[in-house]
Parts: sequence; structure tokens; C-alpha cells
Amino acid sequence: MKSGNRAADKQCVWLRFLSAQILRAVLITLIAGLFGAVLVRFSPGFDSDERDLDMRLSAATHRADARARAAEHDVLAFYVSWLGAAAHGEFGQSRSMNRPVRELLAERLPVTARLMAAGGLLGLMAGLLGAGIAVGRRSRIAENILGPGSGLLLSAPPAVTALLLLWLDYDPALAIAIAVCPYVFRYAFGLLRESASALHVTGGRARGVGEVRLFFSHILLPVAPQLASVATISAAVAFGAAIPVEVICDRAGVGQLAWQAALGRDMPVLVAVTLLITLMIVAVNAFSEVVLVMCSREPRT
Amino acid sequence: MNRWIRRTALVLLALLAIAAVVSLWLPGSAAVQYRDAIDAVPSARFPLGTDELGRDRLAQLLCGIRISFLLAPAAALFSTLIAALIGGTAGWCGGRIEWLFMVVADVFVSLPWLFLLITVRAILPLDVSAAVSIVVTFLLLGILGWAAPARVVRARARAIRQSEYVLYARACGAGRARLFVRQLIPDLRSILAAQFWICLPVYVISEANLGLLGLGVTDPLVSLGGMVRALQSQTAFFARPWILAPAAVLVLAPACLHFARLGEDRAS
Repeated sequence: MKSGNRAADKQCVWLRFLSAQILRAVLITLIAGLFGAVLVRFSPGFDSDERDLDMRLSAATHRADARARAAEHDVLAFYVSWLGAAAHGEFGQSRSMNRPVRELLAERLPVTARLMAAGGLLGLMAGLLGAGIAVGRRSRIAENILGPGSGLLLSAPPAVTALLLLWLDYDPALAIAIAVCPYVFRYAFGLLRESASALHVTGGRARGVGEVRLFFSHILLPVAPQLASVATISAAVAFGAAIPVEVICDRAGVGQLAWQAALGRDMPVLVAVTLLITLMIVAVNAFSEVVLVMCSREPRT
Repeated sequence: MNRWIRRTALVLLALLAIAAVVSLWLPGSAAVQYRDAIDAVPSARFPLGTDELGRDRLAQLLCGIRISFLLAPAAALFSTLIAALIGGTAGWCGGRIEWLFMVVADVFVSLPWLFLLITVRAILPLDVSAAVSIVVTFLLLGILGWAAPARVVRARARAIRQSEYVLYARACGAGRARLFVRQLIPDLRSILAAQFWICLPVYVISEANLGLLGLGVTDPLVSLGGMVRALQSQTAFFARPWILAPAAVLVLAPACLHFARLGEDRAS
């Protein structure tokens, strides 16, 4: 009877934890969307539209445009109505590109996803491998080369890397990999070094346990959940790098769309992209949090 | 090895800073056009040559370094102060204030930094003067960069609030305001200094990214990002490697700022 109650309590704690994660993700996404809408609403030039100067358009069209803009004046009302439409898959019409936002996103998402997946994965693997080598080899040389090397890569702005790769005719995904790799390396290296300095690892080594077994079973395995959460860092960094990389390498992805929307003060596109990016990063954050907690088997309440 | 790298980084930083300051007293300016020397190759008169408008590349580079070295620390100081104020208050007060802070900080941290920057920078007027564009760019960096340092400060402030010595001091009758001034602020000093140094290279890189996207410092003033942007139209850089000097400085300066802190983390 007691064990049944304990299982129910545990289930309840888990449910509360998961619902808190979802609620937090939704709240952050909504606030970020509102933040984007407020910024654009109060920007100078919000009321002006180059279509007003187009003499080919009729007076009725100009009036319709003015009505559409007037509806966006109350930022909260605009945001609420936009969210209602977004729930039905309708993200509005881009003002600067004169096309439905849904179409633009559907067109550009695969480009960014491919770029981020290729670059992010490459950076992730290189970072983890570098950290593994630096800790597993227990050699100061590896640590002294990889540590400053990652610092140097960390100091290279993604835009500069993209420009150099463009000149050298390399794939732009490499620029994203170069941006992601040092972050992953530093995080993974810190975790693995701490794990390697544990007393039981020294004890195992003293008893003659092989280095490979020691590394995989006693250094890597205990920090595997934390290393899995490194995907969170990779996703955020990869998207941050995707904006300048897509702009400089002229890739028609979401990063370039965000840049064009920001320059053209295109409110519907900007709000949609803000929500999309926030949702993606918050979802990855929540996922890694759940993975960490599942591995520790104790949800934080 | 780390000590050697750190010393080299400090020497290079000092050299860059001296060059940027000394250039203030040198004749010629980044905006002056030498129409008799359009797109000139390096010479004694123009050590890095001139651009397609006849402007001295070295003078431009020094101007860019000056702007970055003057304003990135100012922006880092600004965001560290905001982080100290918000993070310190949230961690010290706890409860709903802390929860509210966490939500706002999560929003800022969840959005890619560069995306936030281009959004905020792009909604500002297009016809701002060069001086205003510099101040706005770095002010934005300072305002938008508070969230990550503030989380660190909050965690430390919270630990101090829950520490036994604070509990003991409160039991002895010390007021919250007195504890804030006498215990919290001195204890946060080392964390704030570390956050300031972490922010510095990040802001130099962010300004470069903004400049490359055409949203940074405007003409006639020059920034490192703006100079690298001009390279986008260049193709024959293998034949003219000196035009890559701004890109090299742009990687070198943040790297030196980064390496100057080597070993400090472990020491603290």
C-alpha cells in the first residue's frame, strides 16, 4: 500500500515538473513574441510605407493599406489577434515582401535547418572529440594546444569566418561548425576534467584499470547526461551564427529573413521569426533539462 | 604555457592600445581622401595602402581599434552594473522578485543575442549621425547583454543571503541595507570583475557582426566590423593580403582579451 502511494507521489512530482517546464516554455515564448511586437510598433517609420508613394495604386488600395496599418497601432490587440491567427497556421502577410509569412517560413526553414544540422553536428562532434582527447590523453600538450585553439576560434566573429570561407569557396556550414565547436569543447572539457579528477578514477588507475575502460566507464559515463545537454548550447549558438552566415553567403534561410525583416521593419515576419526562434531554443532547453532530471531520477520541484 | 600566452596577449593588447592612442596625434584622418592615391598598394606614405575611395587603410584601422577599445569596455561596464543591480537585488530579495527576474532573464537568454541586436538596432532611425550610431550600438550591447552576467550574480547573491554568516549577522541585529552594502557588494566584486572581462571580447565581436550586417557604426567614422564589411566586395585578396588586416585585428583583439584572463579562473 505504502509503495503504491510512493509511486503515485513520484508520478505527481514528475507531472508537476513536466507541466512547469511546458508552462515556462510557453510563457517565455509569448513574452518574447510580445517583446518583438512592442519594439517594432514603437520604432520610427512604423507608420510609413513605401506603397504610399506608389502612384499606380488606387485611392481605395491606399485607404485599405492605411486601415491595415491602423489595426496594428494597438500593439496588444495586434499581438492577440496575430496569436489567434497563428494558432490556425496563419502568420499574416509580409509587408516588405508582399507574401504570406507562412510561405516564407516554409521556404526558408529547410535551408536553415540543413545549415544548422550540418554545422551544429560537425561542431558538436569536433568539440566533444577535442575535449575527450584533451582529458583522455592526460597530456599537457593536448590541453595546451586545444585550450588556446578553442579560445582563438571563440574569438573569431562568425561573420568574419563566413567571409573567409566564402572567399575560399568552402561550405558555409563550416562557419557554423567553427562557431559551435569552441563552446562545446569548453563545456565538455570542464565536465570531463572534473570527472577525471574524482578519487575513484585515481583509485582505478592505481589498481591498473586500462585507460580506455577508465575513460568510457568512469569519466565519460557519469557526465553523459550533462554532455547531452550540450545540445542546448549548440542550438542557440548555431542559430546565432546562422544569421551573419546566411546574410554573407547569401543563403535564403530564416537568418537572412530575420535580417531582411529587421531592416524592412516588417512586423508580422519579425514577430513570427521571434516566436519561432524562441520556441525552438526554449524547447531544446526544456528537453535538456528533462534529460538531466531523468538521469538524476529526481525532478526539481 | 598558459603564462606565456597570457603575457603575449597582454603585450599585444598594450601595443594595440598604444597604437590607437598615439594615432590621435598623427597627421591625417580616417575620413581624408587622397585622390592622388586611389586603391594604392602599401608604401612608406600608406603602410597598408588606401581603399577604393583613397582613404588611408592604416588610419582607418587605428580609428576602428580606438572605437572598439574605448566603447567595448564602456558597454561591458554598463552591462556589468545593470547585472549587479538586477541580479544582486533578485538574489538578495528572493521570492517573487527573483521569480520575475528569472523569467525576464530567460527571455533574454533564450533569444540569440545577434537576433536581438539586429532587431533593436534596425528599428532605430536610419538617419542617425556617426557619433550617435557609435553610442547607440554600444549602449545596445550594454543593455542587451545584462542577462547572462546577472544570472551569475543572482546565484552568488542568493548563496550569500543563505550563508551562515549572514544569518548570524541578521541574528545580531544587522539591517538588510547594511548587510547589502557591507557584505553583499564586497563579496560580489570578484564575480563582477570576471563578468566585465568576459563581456569585453563578446562586445568587440558583436559590434563586428553588426558592422558586417550594415547595422553598426555609420560613415564617415570607421569600425572594425565596417572595415571587414568593405571586404565583401573584394575578390583578389591573395594578391593583396594587406587588405585582410582589419579581419586579422578583429580576431586578434578579442583573442588577446580572452587569453589575458587565462589562468584567472583556476586561480579564483
